[in-house]
Amino acid sequence: MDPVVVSGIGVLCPGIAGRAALADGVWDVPPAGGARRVAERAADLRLPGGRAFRRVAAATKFALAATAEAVRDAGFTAGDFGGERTALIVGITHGAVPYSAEFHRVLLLEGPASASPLHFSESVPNAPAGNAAVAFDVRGPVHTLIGEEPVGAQAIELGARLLRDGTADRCLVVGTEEWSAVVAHAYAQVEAATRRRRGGEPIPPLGEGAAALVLELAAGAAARGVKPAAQIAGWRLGGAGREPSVERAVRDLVCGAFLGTGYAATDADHVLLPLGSHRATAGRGVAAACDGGADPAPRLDLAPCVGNPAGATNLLQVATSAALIAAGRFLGPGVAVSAGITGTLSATVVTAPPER
Amino acid sequence: VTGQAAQRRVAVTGMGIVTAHGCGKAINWRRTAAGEPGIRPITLFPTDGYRVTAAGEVPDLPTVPWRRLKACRADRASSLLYHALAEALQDAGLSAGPWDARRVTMALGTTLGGMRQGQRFHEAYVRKGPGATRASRVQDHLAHAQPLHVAAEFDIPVVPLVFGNACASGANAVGHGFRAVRAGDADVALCGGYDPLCEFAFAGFQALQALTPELCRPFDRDRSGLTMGEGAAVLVLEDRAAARGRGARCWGEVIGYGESNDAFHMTRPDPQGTGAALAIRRALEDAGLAPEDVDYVNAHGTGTPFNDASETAAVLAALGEWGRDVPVSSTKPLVGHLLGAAGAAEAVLTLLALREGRLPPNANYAVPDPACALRVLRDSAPADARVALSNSFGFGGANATLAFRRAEA
Repeated sequence: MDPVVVSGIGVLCPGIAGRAALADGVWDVPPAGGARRVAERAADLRLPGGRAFRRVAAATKFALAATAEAVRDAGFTAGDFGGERTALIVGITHGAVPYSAEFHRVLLLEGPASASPLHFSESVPNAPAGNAAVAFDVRGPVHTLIGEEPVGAQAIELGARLLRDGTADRCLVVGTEEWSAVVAHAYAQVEAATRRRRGGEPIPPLGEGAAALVLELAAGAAARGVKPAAQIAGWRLGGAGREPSVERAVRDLVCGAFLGTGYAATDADHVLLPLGSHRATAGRGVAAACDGGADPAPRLDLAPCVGNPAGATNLLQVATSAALIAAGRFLGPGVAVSAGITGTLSATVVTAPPER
Repeated sequence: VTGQAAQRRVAVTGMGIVTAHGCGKAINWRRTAAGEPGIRPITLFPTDGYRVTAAGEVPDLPTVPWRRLKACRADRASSLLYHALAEALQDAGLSAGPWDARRVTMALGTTLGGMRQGQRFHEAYVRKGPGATRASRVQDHLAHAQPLHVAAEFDIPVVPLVFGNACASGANAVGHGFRAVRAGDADVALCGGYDPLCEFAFAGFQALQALTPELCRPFDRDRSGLTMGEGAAVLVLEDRAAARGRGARCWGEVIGYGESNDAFHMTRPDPQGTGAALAIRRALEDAGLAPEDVDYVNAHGTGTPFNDASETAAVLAALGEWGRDVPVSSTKPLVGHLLGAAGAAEAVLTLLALREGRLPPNANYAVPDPACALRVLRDSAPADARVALSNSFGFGGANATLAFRRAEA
């Protein structure tokens, strides 16, 4: 099978804007406390289409900003990227909760006649994807996948299928999430309850932001004369079910993700740790899979910088690994491990692109 | 797709459906074929302040015997999905499992998942303050929670793929399952869609002025909007040869899937229907069909002025002159618009129509509209139909078309 490569990377997260920032490791510097938020107007300054998208929800703005950068990074102009053979897949967990909360608040307190149609249409899960399709003229398959932190790996899997079955020539995969007081409050309650019940570890604070990757088959990128940043060599999705099995599930998942890549899990030279739930147990699973030798692979933890950007998590991790490999900071393979609160899991293996 | 997988044909071996007509295929088909309306006054939330007070609400939804999920923590969305999946699994003879995690896939579509539970949480947050909320009561809110919970109830070891492509979600999920089985990536695909009636969505569609206080009458000159509904539908797809080998019933085959995006506007369809026509053409190409092979089109047919004109343009662009002759109907006037469940429920009804040799009526259709110059079926009609298309279009420019073939005798 022709390898799936990453030919463009775009990121907009708290303290991180752009592929170069990922490669420079700016995420290693935790910001001063509080919620992990994207700087005000950071997305507005990067929106495509002038003022056309100024009123959309932040989740959509983040997706548009990250996508614009990924498209440029892949060597496309906004005018030549889209079309009927371009696909777009967006992964989210919560979506535009501030807009949906505002819609519902007005509905409760003022009645249906006062509810804003914009707040409703921007609340639907596929608003980021729908707006991005308009902005970048994507007329092929456009999907929104809803899931926990591993949803980015699901987007990669679906994108790879669309490329390999010939449905699309290129596929944007985007993860986006928006901070909201309501969701942060619910997470805090869940964390407190979990710690009371099981003495669990802290869950990183809810974050926000977006990460976007342009995926192509290696042959397609080569035909355009583009050198890819990295290759998505393997991935696995699974569910742990109950907490005690997370460690074993992660170990099996990581080892499974390396099957067919030409590498073993013990070859990993860097590991992106989960940003959400089950961090300690997943970390032990990673160790069981990857730490066969005397010199364990470095663990890269984005959580102190970005918190937990839920639906954007996995693609942010993969983007980081790809940017580091492209910049020569690591040779690869790297593995990105994501875990959701109910125990959904993913492992994604990133390597240097194939030589052509 | 190469080798043996290239030969795979995809059989529908199980179907489950819940709509305003009731739970199960039998009652849904009987009432659909008879053109009986399922629209009734809404009881799930107060309708004070709304122009519209009726919808396709599911009456007397049976209680689910939850084993793992506490009943008080289950959203109506999960209950709808449970009943549809239970019927589909029983129908396919797969209720007992066991499941090979590597050979089964689950893809489901929804628009807002467990929004009713989210509303209750947020209402307490707004009216009484954050301290009055309990996150444990909102564990079935997020749109991926219902498939996870229902899969766990049936001991199906999958991480479901949840499509949130608005009103095309259910069709996208069925299309995804079809491709997975055809390509040999899975032996069994459990796919469909679900959405409960909730005030959040109802108020949203009212704010968009998409709801009609009158009868929903797709393609009619005097159409004035859609009627909301709720429900769920699940299809079990299998490799046809393997299904025959185990003696499973075949309700028909999925033979093609096309998808596209308008890239036009977040909530308005492209008036030219260009994107929708591309989805229809892709479904035909995928199935190896010529336009004249299509015996019936189950339309998206929401009853809004924009949608029906756009869909007409798309059907005519994709099917050419045959588009004026092929019978077309929408089942939405009978049970309402099921949003994320619509594509899957209409897939079930389309397969039943092919099997029963009777095409469903486009209820309430009275006055032809020159902008919708299709052969709209006013009444249910017997037909020796072998091949049908089902269209689903949604917010965000999402377009999906599925192609079905009647089961061979």
